[in-house]
Amino acid sequence: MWTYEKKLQYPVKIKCPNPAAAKVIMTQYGGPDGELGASMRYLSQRYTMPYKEAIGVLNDVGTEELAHLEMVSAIVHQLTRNMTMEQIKESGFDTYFVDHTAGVWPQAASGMPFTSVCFASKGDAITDLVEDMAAEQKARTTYDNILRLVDDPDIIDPIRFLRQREIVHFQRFGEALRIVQDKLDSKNFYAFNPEFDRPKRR
Amino acid sequence: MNTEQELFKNIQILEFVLYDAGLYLDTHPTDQEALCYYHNYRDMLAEAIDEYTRCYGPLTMDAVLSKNKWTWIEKPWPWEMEA
Repeated sequence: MWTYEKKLQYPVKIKCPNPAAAKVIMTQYGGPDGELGASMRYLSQRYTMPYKEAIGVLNDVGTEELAHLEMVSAIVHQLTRNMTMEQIKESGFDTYFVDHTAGVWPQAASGMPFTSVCFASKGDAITDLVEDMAAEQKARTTYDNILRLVDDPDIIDPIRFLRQREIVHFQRFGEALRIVQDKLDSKNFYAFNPEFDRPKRR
Repeated sequence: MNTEQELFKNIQILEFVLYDAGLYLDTHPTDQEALCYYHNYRDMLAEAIDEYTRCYGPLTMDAVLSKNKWTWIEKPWPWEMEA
């Protein structure tokens, strides 16, 4: 279970409203490579993951992604508080505003609502861990693209932190994959699926 | 039921009592009787978690006491408990 800690993992303190930036950064809340999908991906995959090191990484990264979800939400909120109607109209934020005002809601930058189709839980250790590594790189690319689009240092600082975490997670998932493969048949990693075919537990 | 299971169940009970009292206090923040109840269980929970952690291992990542092994990942994970 979880208990809430009344703090962000890394500080978010943005002075100037910027609905144009909010519209693109929102995609890391509810978009295809966003933090909501990331958390749900890892927390869903951990139940059938057979090895304790890989379970630990899925559990702990899945939990950290909830903290990132909160940071992205805080960024979106701070970028959309005290907006003027002129800023809303000029920035193109009007298409979001009409449905949600300045409320935070998980959608992609394109307006597509959050969908679980953006992540997988395949029930196969190699498949899932390779997906997880790709997911971290996709999120890293998205943060890189966000950094190309924004120039406010107050926004750049927490986005850089989140980008760096994608790289750390990619490393940990790579190590988890290696640990899993070390426990499989070295001549054929696919001889059986350790999440389903129930090998001897270690 | 062995001592570990008893202690574990006691923590679940105390934690839920504390949480549910907290939820009530969210909408009744000056209720002195509820605050007193909360603090009573808060002390009991802290004591129970401390005892469990010392005897059986960490319930949270920041409660690993072992200096020579990372015991956080030791099985069973909560969803692996036998019926």
